[in-house]
Amino acid sequence: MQLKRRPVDWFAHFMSERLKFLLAAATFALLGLALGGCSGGVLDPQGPVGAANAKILLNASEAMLVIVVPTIIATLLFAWWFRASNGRARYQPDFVYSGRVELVVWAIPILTVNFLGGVIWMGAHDLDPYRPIAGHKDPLEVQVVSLDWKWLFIYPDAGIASLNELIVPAGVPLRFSLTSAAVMNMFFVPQLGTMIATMPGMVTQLNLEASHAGDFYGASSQFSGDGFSDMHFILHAVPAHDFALWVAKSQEAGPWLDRAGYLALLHQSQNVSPVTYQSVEPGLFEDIVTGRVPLGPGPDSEGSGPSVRSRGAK
Amino acid sequence: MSILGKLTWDAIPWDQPIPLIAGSVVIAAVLAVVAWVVLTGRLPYLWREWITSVDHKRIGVMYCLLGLLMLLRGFIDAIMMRLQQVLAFHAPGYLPPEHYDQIFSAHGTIMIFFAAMPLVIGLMNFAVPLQLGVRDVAFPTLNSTSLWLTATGALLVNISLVVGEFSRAGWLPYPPLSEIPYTPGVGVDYYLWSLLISGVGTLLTGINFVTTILKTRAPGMSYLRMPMFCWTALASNLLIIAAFPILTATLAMLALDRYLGFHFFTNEAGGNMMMFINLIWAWGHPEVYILVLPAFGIFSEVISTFSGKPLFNYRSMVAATMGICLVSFLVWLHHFFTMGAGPDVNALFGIASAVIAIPTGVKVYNWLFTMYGGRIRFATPMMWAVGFIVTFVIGGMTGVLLATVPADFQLHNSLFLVAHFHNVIIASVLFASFAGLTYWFPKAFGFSLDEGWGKAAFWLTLIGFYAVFIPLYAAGLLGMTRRLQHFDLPIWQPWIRIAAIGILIMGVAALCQVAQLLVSIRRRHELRDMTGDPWDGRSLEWATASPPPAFNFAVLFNVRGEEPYWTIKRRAIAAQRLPVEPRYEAIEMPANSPIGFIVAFFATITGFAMIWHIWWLVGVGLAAAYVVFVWFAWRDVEEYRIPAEEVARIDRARRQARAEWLAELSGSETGVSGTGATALGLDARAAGHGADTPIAGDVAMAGIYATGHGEGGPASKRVIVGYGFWLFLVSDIIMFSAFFAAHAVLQTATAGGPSGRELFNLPSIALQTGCLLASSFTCGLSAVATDTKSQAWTQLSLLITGLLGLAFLTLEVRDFSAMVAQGAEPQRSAFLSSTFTLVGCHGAHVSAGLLWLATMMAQVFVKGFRPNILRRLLCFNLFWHVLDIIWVALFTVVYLVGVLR
Amino acid sequence: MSNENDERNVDDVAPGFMDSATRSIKAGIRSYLIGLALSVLLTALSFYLVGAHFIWEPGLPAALASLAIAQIGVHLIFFLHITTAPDNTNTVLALAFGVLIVGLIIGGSVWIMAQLHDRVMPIGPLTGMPG
Repeated sequence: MQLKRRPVDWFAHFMSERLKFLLAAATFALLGLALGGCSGGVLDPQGPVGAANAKILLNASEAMLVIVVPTIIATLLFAWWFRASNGRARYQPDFVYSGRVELVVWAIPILTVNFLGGVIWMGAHDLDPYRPIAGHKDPLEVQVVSLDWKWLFIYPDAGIASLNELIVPAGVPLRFSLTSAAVMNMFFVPQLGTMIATMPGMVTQLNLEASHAGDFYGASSQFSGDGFSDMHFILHAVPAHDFALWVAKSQEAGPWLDRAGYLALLHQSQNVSPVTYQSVEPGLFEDIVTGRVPLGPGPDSEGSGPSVRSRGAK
Repeated sequence: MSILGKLTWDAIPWDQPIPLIAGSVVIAAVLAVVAWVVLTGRLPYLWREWITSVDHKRIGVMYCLLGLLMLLRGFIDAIMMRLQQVLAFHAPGYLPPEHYDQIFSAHGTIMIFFAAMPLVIGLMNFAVPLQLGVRDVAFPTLNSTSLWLTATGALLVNISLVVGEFSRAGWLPYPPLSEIPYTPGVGVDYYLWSLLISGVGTLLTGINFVTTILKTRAPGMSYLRMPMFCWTALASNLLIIAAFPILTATLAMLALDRYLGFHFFTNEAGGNMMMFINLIWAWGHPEVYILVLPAFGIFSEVISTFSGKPLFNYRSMVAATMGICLVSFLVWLHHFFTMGAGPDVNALFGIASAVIAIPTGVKVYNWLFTMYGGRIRFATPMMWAVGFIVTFVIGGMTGVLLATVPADFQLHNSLFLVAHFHNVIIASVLFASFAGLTYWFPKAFGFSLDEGWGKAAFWLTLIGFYAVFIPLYAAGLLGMTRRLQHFDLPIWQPWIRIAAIGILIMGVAALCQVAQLLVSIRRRHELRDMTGDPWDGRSLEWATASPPPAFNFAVLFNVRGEEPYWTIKRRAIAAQRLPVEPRYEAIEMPANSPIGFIVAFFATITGFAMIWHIWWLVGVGLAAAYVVFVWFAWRDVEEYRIPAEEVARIDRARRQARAEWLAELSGSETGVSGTGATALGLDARAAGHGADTPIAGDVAMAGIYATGHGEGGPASKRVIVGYGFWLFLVSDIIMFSAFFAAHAVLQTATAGGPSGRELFNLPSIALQTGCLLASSFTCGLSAVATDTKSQAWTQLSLLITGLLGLAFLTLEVRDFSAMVAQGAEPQRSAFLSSTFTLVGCHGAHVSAGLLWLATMMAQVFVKGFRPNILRRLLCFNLFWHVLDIIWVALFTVVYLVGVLR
Repeated sequence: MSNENDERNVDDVAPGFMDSATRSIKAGIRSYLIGLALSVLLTALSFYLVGAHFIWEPGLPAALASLAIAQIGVHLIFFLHITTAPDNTNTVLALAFGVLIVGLIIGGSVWIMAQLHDRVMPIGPLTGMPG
């Protein structure tokens, strides 16, 4: 077919001839990915759970890359070598079945999945979020309540609570009991590891630990409505005796979280600044779970009409 | 409540410029197109040749057009989301959350249901009957109905842009967020009704294609001679039959919660939100394979054609396809590993998910070895295919990572997950759609698409794709979660910026696609495909003209091996002559029908009325639906006849073009003109392949056409109808199973209200059972009477069947009224919600059956035993007996086991 | 494309009807009669077992399930005329596929939800959550 040489044809031709360029770009991007993973995310774990998860993530990636990379190379190589214009390539239209190839192409994925299956089985059990972290120290109990759209953390032993800010001792196992006072959310501190859902009327459990002192970003990973983007908090891991000091200090000052205060919190609000409560009504968490206090009412009654009206972004 | 329900002028977002302007532009464009069509007098043509067409090729084209339009809409949503995130670092961006939330919900909904599904179904519609060597699908009118119901769903979603709002609860509306207290607006209702309506269309497509593939193949085409695309279409449509009823049931339960205050998934009265998540993913994961398997099929065709080789390890490919089809139903929990499930459950579903990688990996290797030893022509479809393999293995790898439970514990709901499923779906479904569109476009329209623009679109899409999604993988590893309207963490920002650049590149790629289409139309005379075989194809669709005549094949082929067309072509080239002209006979083809369009019209009205609570209009819509049903049932002429001379005239023109091509081919050994001709591989090495030893003369050409009976081929209409209806019943049973599953979970959730022991009136249930069993017996007698051609006895036994059914319903209604009178209304507890729904759903089936029965009896009375009425009597029998079977399960599980608690 | 000819063919039958080649009126009526008798019997037995304290109570659901399955089998054979003949293969396969899916949906859901229930439902006094 005789075509005028249009710019678009030139571009298509240029791209076909410049596969190398594309490969380089992709490699560069992947390299960036690997480097980018090294600060602040799940590949920069700060606790035993996150470290194990990340290790499994890397192991599984490596095991698969061993297959995936040669496959990609072979694809490009075969496609290039067996191009119609290559006179040196041998055309074998009858090569449509080979028992040996068949064996290999089934064996490779089966063996890989065999390995990964083992990892999955052991990992699911060893890293079950409900499983206490082995160690000599007693865990710190924290009760977590997701509200529209904030996080309430209750320290039942100290009788205090905090909103949108979580202070924990470093090097001490943390035992979270989690529920929701409105819709489903998911509690997630990327650098500590495993996330878990918070659901109304139900209690999930999660065991984490921060190995070192530091400030770690935490958020909800389950979309929960218009204020979802502000459902994040900072987890401050502090040395154990600083934590004790913080608890003692908190118990002496700050607002009280009584029933009325909690009911006010239930109303939808977003971008709420952190607060520490010097006292929290005993048994509040249990009352939330069992429905002895109401759940969040949802949007303020605007009628059931179309509620597209802007309530302001922030 | 006003006459327009909840609908007021406030429903239109007067104060929000973005949807208002976008909506106005769309409306103006639609009006302009309509005006152009009307003013240029094209409306009759459009109505006659397209809207009412039941031709699978036309329907396929319309599906693809719908898919492409919606792809554009969903892509605009994607651009808006990327731009919002890039502008929303420490800032509110330009989209407030209530708008942003609608956009990502609409993006997901539109892309899966109204872009990917129509594209895949459209390509199946176009190619499968041609590849099977037959003249149409099993149920052509139903096919048109499927198309228009899908269009209804797409229309409703797009109406939400300007009238009211769309869902703000994500593309899968997880309760309790999607329940009335937290999302009171009409957005979720738009979502529910558009999917409930289009879901029916999709289910009908599934039934239609499974029946087509199992019951109407060309003579001699055994299962293991079907092209790979037909196998994947079979697997995909089996999954539709299995999965879509679950979606319908689940969305129906959510609708009952929202409309009638039931408690399936609410926070109160024992509702269980986890059940929604469980059920929706029992549909959701097979859905991925509904989309991906046909994509694999398209790539199999493309890679084999452009490598000039049969598909490597065809049988192992078939096994892998069916393996994926089955295992895809064993993995749905991997979408909620982090909901609190125990380690055993998580581990088993995780391993099952990883196991899917085995057949998928086998497929990748088989494509590789199809290329090996080939003579690869890099036409645009092949570019997409190679781009697919390279990209898809990365998506597959991250998929297995996410199936690795501990890794998922910290990647779930992050942008890593978002990048993963886009990686898989874009690389397979989108690339395959583009490959398939370019591949079959000349077959559909008679001219090829411009290669330059196509390749430019390919490269820009590929680069844009990596530029968007590699950064999203990175952001996900950095802990960035999905659906953020704004964010404050600086480490994510660079990645979000690169992704925004990437989507602009993809935007340019989209413009290239549009340019490709426009340029190709302008240059259509240069790009004309005369032979019907522009790519040197291997399967039967290339044996007919481009575009194919309405009847596809003048005479059906007698298939005697894999790749029948390749064999015929090789023999023709070796013998240097076409096969002997067959004896042409008149052909009966299904007549056009406006039914599908009219049904969809009323479905749109009913859906819109449901969304806005305009109850009188719902009544009008349902009544109209019944009238249309009767009207459809009443028609006698379903087919028209194409005379033998007409068939001969059309086919001789094709043969003429072929003969010229053949002459040209043998005239010059090299450099034959025409798009795919260089690749005809006319050398000694290739000529003998695929055929037996080339024999000259008529001997080689003998027996390629089906001569008549005794060679298999399409089944009789009675069998086709019966089998299709049987598949519908299987899907119905699967829908019931979702309600049964909900009941099994919720039966103890009495929320302090009455339990089955206090409520159920067993003697009455026994009586109801008696009525139903007796009615099944009389229904069976009617079948015997029909067999003896006795109308009187048939009518009598049908009448008794109907009366017994009526008695059953009366008793049932009486029982439930008594329960409500005792305060046991379905709003009281989750247990009662599920009981009322399960029994009510069966009751609704019985009621529908009675309406059907009455219509059919009237028809027998007026028209006697016409063949179409006999087929319907057969279906009614099946229906009624299956209702009995469901009732047996129901009275045992709900009532007998229920009173034990 | 498909022949309008509705003559029944031995190799080619519609699902579950009187399409089988060996049909006769008497055989047809007999099949429906046997079906009715068996299913009434099985139904009666089910209802009777619930009222009478004949079977060990916890075993009752299993007994009822068995009877229901038996009755569904009766309906399939005597009302729907599902057979194992080669002409029925596709019909039976479609049914088997459906049954498999139904089993997976109900069985899978019940198992998953039971596990979740055990893990997330607060049991007993909440102070001192189960660890």
